[in-house]
Amino acid sequence: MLGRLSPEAKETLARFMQPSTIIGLSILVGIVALGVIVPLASPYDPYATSEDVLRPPLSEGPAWPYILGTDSLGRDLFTRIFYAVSIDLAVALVTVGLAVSIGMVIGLVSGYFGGILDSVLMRIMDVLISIPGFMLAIAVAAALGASLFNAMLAVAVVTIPIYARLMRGVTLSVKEQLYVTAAKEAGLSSFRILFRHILPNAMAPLIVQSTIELGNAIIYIASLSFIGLGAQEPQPEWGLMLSTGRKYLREAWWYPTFPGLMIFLVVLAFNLIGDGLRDALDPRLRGTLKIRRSIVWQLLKSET
Amino acid sequence: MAVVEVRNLSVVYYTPRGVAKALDNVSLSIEEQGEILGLVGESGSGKSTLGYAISGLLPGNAEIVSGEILVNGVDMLRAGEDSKPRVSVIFQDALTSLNPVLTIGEQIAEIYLYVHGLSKSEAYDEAGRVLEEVGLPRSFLNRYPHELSGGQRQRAVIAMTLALRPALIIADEPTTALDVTVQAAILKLLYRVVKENRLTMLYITHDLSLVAHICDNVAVMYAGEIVEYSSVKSLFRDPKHPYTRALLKAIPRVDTDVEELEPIEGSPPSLLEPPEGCRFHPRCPLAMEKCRILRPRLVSLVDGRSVRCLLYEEE
Repeated sequence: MLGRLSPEAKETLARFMQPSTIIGLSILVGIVALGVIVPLASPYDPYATSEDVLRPPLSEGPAWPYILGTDSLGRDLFTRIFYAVSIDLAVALVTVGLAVSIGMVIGLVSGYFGGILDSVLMRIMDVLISIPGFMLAIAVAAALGASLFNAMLAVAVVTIPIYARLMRGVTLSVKEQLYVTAAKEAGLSSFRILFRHILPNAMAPLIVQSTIELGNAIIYIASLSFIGLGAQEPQPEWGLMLSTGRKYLREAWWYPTFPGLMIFLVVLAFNLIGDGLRDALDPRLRGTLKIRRSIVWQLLKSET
Repeated sequence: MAVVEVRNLSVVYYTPRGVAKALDNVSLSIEEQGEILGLVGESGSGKSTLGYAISGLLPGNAEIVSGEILVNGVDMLRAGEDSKPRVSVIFQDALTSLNPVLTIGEQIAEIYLYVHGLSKSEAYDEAGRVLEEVGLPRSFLNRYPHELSGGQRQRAVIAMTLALRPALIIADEPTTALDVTVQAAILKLLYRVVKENRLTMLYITHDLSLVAHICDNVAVMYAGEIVEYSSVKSLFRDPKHPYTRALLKAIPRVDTDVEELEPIEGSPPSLLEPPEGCRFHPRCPLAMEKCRILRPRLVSLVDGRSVRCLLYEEE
């Protein structure tokens, strides 16, 4: 497949393949792969309880050994933790996806049309950003009941301004470009100018931001589950498992540790990927990466 | 009906240091389709402001104080967006005139698709044809702007302009960023496509020698006013205004053994406080006493020429 790519495409690919992106991607791919394989292959039901309560990691089980031990209800932690991958990642993707798509449109429209519309939209964003996300989530949970879906909505709403403001700023600079002027002069519709000429040129910072925000969303949702406003028992979810497990920290260290470790790894992976993307997409660095790397190599060589 | 008619246009810029009169009662017309009018002047003479005013691209701190701009008889300052004839601008920097994330083909075909309402295959067909017309191979449809050289980019921009079929093309120093050999090729191309398609072009430049190559008529601007209007031939044969004469003397020529180039002494006047009387008098070698006090009018001479100088007013 790589053979078909043009030299330019290969160069682009090389630009994206930075060490931090590669490490982040490998962690993420590993976790996702296990998240697919474990639920299919594991002999244990993530919901079924058993008498093997709080067994330590690698102890004998009826089918497989309990690789990461069992929890207070005798459920296999390994199975539950990787069962939770699809839930946690899906929640993060949906939350960020929702916030990005709404925030993006608000930012585009606000930055492009300006004037009163801009002022009104941005003041609404100011109001939203002034609400602490947790408070809103608590309010939503109080009003609509505590559930994962409500927690997602709350997180999406309070993060919309992040993308709206970012997009507005980029739109303001992109709309001054001559090709946008030319498109206006040619009489293309505002819709077309916004989505075909401005949006693709304004996407880079948004992609970086939303990758990093994926990590934040995981923390947000896990925290809400931790205080009981997100996922509910017996749903396998890292924040919830961490929350119930912390009571057993003294007698069963593995119970809160492994879900916490998963949150840590996934957030780390998203941040690494986001950082790598930022470097790769930053137009100021375009074409300088190779030089930077070769300088590093020369320095390393001269050291030895 | 004239293609372009500018009547008594005055434009000011609001700057932190005061109000700058960039254009002062400028009147200008392009009579026939297929005509190329050169607009010449030094930096700050108002030549680009005039171009921007006609195309509706004046920056936010500019205001049209008075005057009218008619293109194909339509009042560009009052008509609705839909009834305005299309005016297309070719800028100096071709790279930023092209969208970096779309191929040349997508950008040209877009005009045929959404402005002229062609079908997708027709649009790409036409886009290929118009690329060939500007001397680029059809395969460039699939190229991105960053894959093109400076001259090729400007050709692609010209192709987009042709695709739009505008009533008026405003070219604002389109060759300044290119090296001399490419410059000549682009000038030739512009001349050919304008004449072949009977388009009309306003060519803005500070370089009188370019004007000689491509324009039919020339308007020379100084400090926000048109000081001389003439056909290219008569301008070069017999410049009337002292400023035009000085400009011509400042151009190196290969065909005559000119001893030395003569620079124009002094610098262009501030538009915040333009000099009293004739605006050129502080730098004019022929300045008379009355030039300090009297504002010269634009005087019509034979064969459609006009000049703004007191030397010609008494005749």
